[in-house]
Amino acid sequence: MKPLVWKELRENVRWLPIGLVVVSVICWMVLPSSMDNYQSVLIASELVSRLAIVLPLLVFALGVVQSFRDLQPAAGAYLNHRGVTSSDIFFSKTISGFVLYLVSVLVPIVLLAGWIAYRGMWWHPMRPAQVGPAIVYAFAAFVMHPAAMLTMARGASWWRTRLFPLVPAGAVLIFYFGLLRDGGPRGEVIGMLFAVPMLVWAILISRQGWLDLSKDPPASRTNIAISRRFLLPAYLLVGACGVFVTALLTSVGVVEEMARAGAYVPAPYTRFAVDAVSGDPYFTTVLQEFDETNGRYTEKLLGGDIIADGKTVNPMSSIQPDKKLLALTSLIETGKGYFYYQSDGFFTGLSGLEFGNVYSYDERGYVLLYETYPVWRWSHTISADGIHPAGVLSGERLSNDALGHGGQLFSSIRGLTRSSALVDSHGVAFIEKNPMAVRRIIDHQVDAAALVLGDAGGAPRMFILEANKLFEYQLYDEKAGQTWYKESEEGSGEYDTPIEPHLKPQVKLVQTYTVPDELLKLRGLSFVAAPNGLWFNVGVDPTTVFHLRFDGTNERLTFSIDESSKTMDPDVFRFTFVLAGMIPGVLILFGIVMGVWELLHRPDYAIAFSGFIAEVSSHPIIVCTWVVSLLLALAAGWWLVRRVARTCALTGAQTKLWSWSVLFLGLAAPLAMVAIYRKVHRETCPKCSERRRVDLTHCEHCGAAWEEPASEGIEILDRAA
Amino acid sequence: MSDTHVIRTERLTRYFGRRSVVRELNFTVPRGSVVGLLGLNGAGKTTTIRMLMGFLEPTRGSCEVLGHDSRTLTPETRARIGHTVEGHFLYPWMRVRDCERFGRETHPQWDGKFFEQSVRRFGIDCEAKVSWLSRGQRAGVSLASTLAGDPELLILDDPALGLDPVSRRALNETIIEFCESGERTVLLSSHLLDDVERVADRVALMVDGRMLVDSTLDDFRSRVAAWVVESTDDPTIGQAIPGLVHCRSLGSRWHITVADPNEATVQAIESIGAHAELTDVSFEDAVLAYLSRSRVGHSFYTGAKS
Repeated sequence: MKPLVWKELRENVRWLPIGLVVVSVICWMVLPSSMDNYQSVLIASELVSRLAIVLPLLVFALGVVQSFRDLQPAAGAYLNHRGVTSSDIFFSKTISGFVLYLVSVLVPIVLLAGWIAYRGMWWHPMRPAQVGPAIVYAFAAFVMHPAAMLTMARGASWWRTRLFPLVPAGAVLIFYFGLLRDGGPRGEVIGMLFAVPMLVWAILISRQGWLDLSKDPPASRTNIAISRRFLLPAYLLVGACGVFVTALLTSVGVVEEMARAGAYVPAPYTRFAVDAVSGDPYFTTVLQEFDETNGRYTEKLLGGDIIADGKTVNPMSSIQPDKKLLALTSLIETGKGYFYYQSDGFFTGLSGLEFGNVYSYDERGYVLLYETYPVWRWSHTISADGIHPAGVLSGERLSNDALGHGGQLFSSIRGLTRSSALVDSHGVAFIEKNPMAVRRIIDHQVDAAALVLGDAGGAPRMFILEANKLFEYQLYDEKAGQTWYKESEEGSGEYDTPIEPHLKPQVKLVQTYTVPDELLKLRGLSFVAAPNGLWFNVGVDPTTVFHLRFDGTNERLTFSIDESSKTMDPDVFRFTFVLAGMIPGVLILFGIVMGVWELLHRPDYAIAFSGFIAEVSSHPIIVCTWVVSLLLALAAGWWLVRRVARTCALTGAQTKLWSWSVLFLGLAAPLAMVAIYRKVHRETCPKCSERRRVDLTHCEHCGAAWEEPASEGIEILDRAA
Repeated sequence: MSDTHVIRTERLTRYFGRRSVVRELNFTVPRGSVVGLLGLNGAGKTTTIRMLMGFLEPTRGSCEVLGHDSRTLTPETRARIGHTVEGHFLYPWMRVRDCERFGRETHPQWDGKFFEQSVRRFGIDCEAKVSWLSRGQRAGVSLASTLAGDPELLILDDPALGLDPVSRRALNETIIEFCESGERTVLLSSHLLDDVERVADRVALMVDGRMLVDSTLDDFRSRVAAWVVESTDDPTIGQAIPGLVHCRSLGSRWHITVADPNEATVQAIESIGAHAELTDVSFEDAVLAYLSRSRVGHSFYTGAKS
C-alpha cells in the first residue's frame, strides 16, 4: 500500500495550498483585531462557525478529486490491473486524504494557537485552548471524505445514490457544530469520544460501497445478500429517512409561514397574581400591548377570579381594572452558567460595566476586568474571595458568571447595581470603585436568588434560597433610610428604576421560610411576595399554587379553570395536519414513549397531559385530518413498497419486512428501498411470454434458460473456439 | 478450465440499463496465441475486456482468465495479466522514472532492464514528464510498463490508436517479440486491420455484442468469398443467398460477400445475372463485410443521399 499512498500524496499535494490558504484566511478572520466589533469576539465559536462552512466543502472536494479520476475506465484499469487490491486503493486514498487535510487544517490553526499564546490575555480574553473545538470539528468533518468517495463510487442516478450518502454525514456535522460551537472543553471531550468510532464507521461503509458497487454488479448479487453487508444499507436507510423528515419539516414550515397573519395581533393570556393589599390569590387574564408613544409593551388586565381550593375559576370574570396585583418573580438559580452574553465555553463575550470597564467571565471560575482607556488592558481578576491583580488567576473560583447573575438579579434597579453586583453560590457582593474592592452583603451559600420590588418608596427585598431555607432580606441604605428607593413613574417608559449612584445598599434579614420538599423538587420556581406570605406557582401546572405563611405553615390550593373562558385555536381544516399525518411512526412512537416517561417521572405532567387530551378532544376536525392523512400515508407507503419491491425483484420475505416497516418509517420506507436496492431490468420470455429478469440465467416464471441467439449462417468458428 | 485456454467466457452477457451490450458470448483464447479482437465502436469489445479484467461484473454468464473467475481475481492473478488501456493512460504528473518506480513497487515480478530498453526504443527520456510526451511516446511507456511486469497474458485495448507509423511498427515488433516464446498470450483489440493481420494468428470479430468470427486468420480468409455482379438494383432483394454476409454497391455493380459458400450459394448468385465474377477477398474486405452488417448507411455519401 505504501506506493499507492505515495502516489495519492504526490498526486493530490497540489490541493494542499488551497486548503492552507482557505483555513489561514479563516484563522485570520477570527482574530479579535480583524473584526468590526472586536469586543465580542469568541474565538472558539467564531472559528468553529467559519470552519463549519468551509471544511465540509474542502473535504468533500478532496474526496471527489481523489476518487473521480481513478473511477474512470482508463485510469481505473491502469491502477487496478496490478498486484494491489481495491481495498488497498481505497485505504491509500483515505490515508493520504486524511494526511493532506490535517496538514492544511492543523498548520494554520496551530499557528493561530501560537499567536494567541504569544499575545496572552492582556489584550483580549483568549487562550490557545480555544482552538481545541475547531480541531475536533475538523477531525469530525473528515466524515465528508468517505461520503464523497461513496457518492462517486456508485454508478447510478443522482438523486438515488449520489445524494443519500451525503445526508448522514451532513447530519453528523450539524450535530458536531451544535456540540462544539459553544461547547468548550466539555464539548471537545464528548466530540472526540464520538469522532473516532464515527469516522471508522463512515470509512468502513464507504469501503464497502467502493468494493461492491464500483464494478456495477447486477441486482441478483446486491439485492439479496443485504444482511451480510448491512453497513451500507443501514447508512442509506438513515440517509433516506433524514431526507424525508427534513423535507417534511421544511414543508410544514413553509405551510405555516404561508398561513400565518402578516401583522402582529396580541393575544390575551392567563397568569397567576396576588392582590397587593389583601394577599388574595387571583387567576387573571392579561393582554400585552405595544405602546407606540414610548415604544414599550404594557399590560392590560382583562379579567380575573379569586382562587380557592377546589374552585372552578373564570379568569375572564370582571375585575377592577386598576386593581393592584403582584406578579410572579422567578428564582434565579446560581448553578454553572452565564447571562446576557454568549460564551464559547471558555469565555463569555466582553460586556460593559457602568464604571467604564468591560468584563468577561473565564469558565475556569474568574471574572476578568479590562480597562478600555487609555489603553485596552486586563486590569483585575475577580474570584470568589475578592479582587486580584491582572496576570494571574488565583483565589477561590466562582461558581458561575457572578457579574452576569448579578446583573440579571438586579436588572430592575438601574444605576447602582446592575453591572457591579456579584451573585454566585458563595454569596452576594458589590464591586466598589476607588479603590476597587468587593463589598460582600450576603456571605452564605446561595442556591437561588430573587429580587422583589416593594411599594413606592419601600425598599426592595431580596430572597435567597439555601437548601430548604428561603431568607428574605431587605435592602437599605444607612444614609438614605427606608425611602432610598423610588419606583419609576407610571408611563415613563422605563422598565427599571434609577437610584442615586452614591448609595451603598446593605441587607437586613426580615424573614426566614422553610420551603416544603415537594416545592424544592420542581424546577423553575416562581413566587409572589404578598402581604400574607409567599405564593408559589408550580412549574408546568398553572392550576396548583402553594401558600407559605409567615408562621411557617403552608397550604396547597388546587383549582380548575372554567372551560368557557379558555381561548382555543379554531377547529378548522389545516394543511399542516395533512403533512403531520406523514410523520414516520417511529417518531410518533418516540413521542409516546417520552410522554409516558415524563408522566412516570414527573407527576405534575399529568395535568399537562390531561390538558393535551382536552385540547385533542375539542378539535375533531384537526384530529380527523391527521388520522385520515396518517392512514392514507400508510396506504400509499404500503403500495409504493410493493411497487418498488417488484421493480427491484425482492423476495417475499424482503417485501413483507418492508411492508411492515411502513408502520415505523411511513413514506420514508419506499424511499429507502429505492436508495438501497438496484433496479432489475426485464425482457419478455420467449417461452412463457412473461417479463423475466435479465440478470438471472433462468426464467423465474417457467424456469427456461436463455436461448442462444439464432445462427445467421455466417458464423465462422473453428475447433478451438 | 483446460490449461490450453487462458480466457474462456460462457454465455457472457452485460446490460447497461435496458440495453444489452454483450450477448451470450462464448469465446476462448488458446494459450500462446495472438488474438485480434475486432469490432466497430460500441460492438462490446471494451466491455468484454473490462469484464475479463474484473472491472465490471457480468449481468449473467461467466468469464475466466488464467483459470480464475474474473469477478474474484486476486492481486496475484492480476499481476500475471498485462493490460494497456485505450488511450494509454498514465498519470500525467509522473515522470517516466516514476512510472517505472510505481510499476516496480506494485508488481511482484518486474524487469527494470526490459522497461528501460523498451522506453529507449521509443526514444524517451526517463526524466521526462508524462504530460510532455507525445501520444506515441506515451504508448511506449505504457507498453513498457505493461510488459516489464512479465505477464502471461497481455490484453491490449486499441493500443495503436492515434500512433504514427513508426510508433505503430515499434508497437507491433514489441508484441511479436513478447510472444516469441509461444507461452505468452495476447488479446489485441484494435481497429487497425493491417496491424492485426500482421501480428495476430487468430481473429475474433464482434458485431452488436455477438461473436460472429473466432478462428485462425487463414481459416477466416479461406472461408469468405466474394462476387461482383452487375445489377441496377440490390440483387439480394427477393433473392436469398445462403451465407450472405454483406452486399454493397459499386456504382452499377454490386459486391457480394459470402461466408462458407457452397453449391447453393453459387447457384443463387449465378441466378442473379450473367455477369457474376468471383473476386479475391482480402482480410480487410472480409472483416469490413462483417462489420458493415450493423451499419445501414456505411457510406456517408450514399447514406446522405438515401
